[in-house]
Amino acid sequence: MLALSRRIARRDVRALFIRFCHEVALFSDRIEIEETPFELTLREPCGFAVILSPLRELFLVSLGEERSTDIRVSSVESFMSALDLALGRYLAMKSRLLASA
Amino acid sequence: MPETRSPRRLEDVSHLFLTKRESAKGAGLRRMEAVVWLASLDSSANRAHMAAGLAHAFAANASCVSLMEVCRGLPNIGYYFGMEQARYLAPALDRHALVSGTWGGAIRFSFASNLSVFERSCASPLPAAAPHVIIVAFPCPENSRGGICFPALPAAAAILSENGSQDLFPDAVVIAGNGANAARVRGAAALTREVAPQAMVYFVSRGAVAAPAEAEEHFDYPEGLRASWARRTPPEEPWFGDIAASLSQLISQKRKKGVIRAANE
Repeated sequence: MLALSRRIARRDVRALFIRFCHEVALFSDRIEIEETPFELTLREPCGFAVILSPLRELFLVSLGEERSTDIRVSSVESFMSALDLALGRYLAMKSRLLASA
Repeated sequence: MPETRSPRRLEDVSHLFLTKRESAKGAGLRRMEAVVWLASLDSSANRAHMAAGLAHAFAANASCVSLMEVCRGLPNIGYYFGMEQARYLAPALDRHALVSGTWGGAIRFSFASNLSVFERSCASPLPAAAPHVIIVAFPCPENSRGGICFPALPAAAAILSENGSQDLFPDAVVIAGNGANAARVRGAAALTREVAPQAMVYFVSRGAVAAPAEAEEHFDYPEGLRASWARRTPPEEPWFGDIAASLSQLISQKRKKGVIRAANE
């Protein structure tokens, strides 16, 4: 994760990237992290997935494997919006999974 | 083993709090206080969801509630009390952030990721004359050295007391988790006994694992409980009222019999 974060030149955004990964990883004890040279995927068996793509000045947060929603994070405000959306998506998927069981 | 007795409703037993007279200390009467700790073993319990639901159940029946959450990970209680994202997410960015609020006039709440931060807490006034339930929610550490420092909890929780207590030991500890790991459940019960030997132990779980020997009550998660996880309001399922009623009843009975002492004496 640290190696991937170094793709981001801005130190403040890099710190937000690491913080974002940390918070999403704590959503559940069953979150799995998969890292490739260009992105990081955090996945939970309920179907929840977040893909993080670090760029030079910002990072992209894509919600869902199908990347239905992309959020550009380059400030504290956009970090909070992305984290709020990710949390809402995670809780909704947990609820939906139960309803369909 | 699931709870099979028909639980009393909270309004059936809340009079036990309302009619209890506390001995006067100094010039004035002390407010009746009960203290409940909620120790979550893992994320399957959704600590914040449970804490908000329990607080709402007590408040719905004429108690006022002070809720403190040591939050490691999201969601926290701010999410369930409908806070703006900038406020409820503050502890995610700042380990020293302390966020406080009120809900419906009868619940005051605060949360932070660090136990020591609560020293700065400045609680808002409570409704007069109502019995006071103090709920402290936290992630249960794996052992006495890990995570939240169990022995520091009574002093931190005392900040919420209106009776000037230095330490606030729990009347009851609710241990919540999916129960997949029996050793973890036993460890949490043992830690509870170590820090609060007089407290009643409640165990809340989903699954076949047996409740620890220390547990006086065992509640199973209802199948549909997670359906309210995504709502940004306190859950209102009757299940929370059942637990709150059971807690009120047993705390009152045991105090009357002198089995446990009032938390602030």
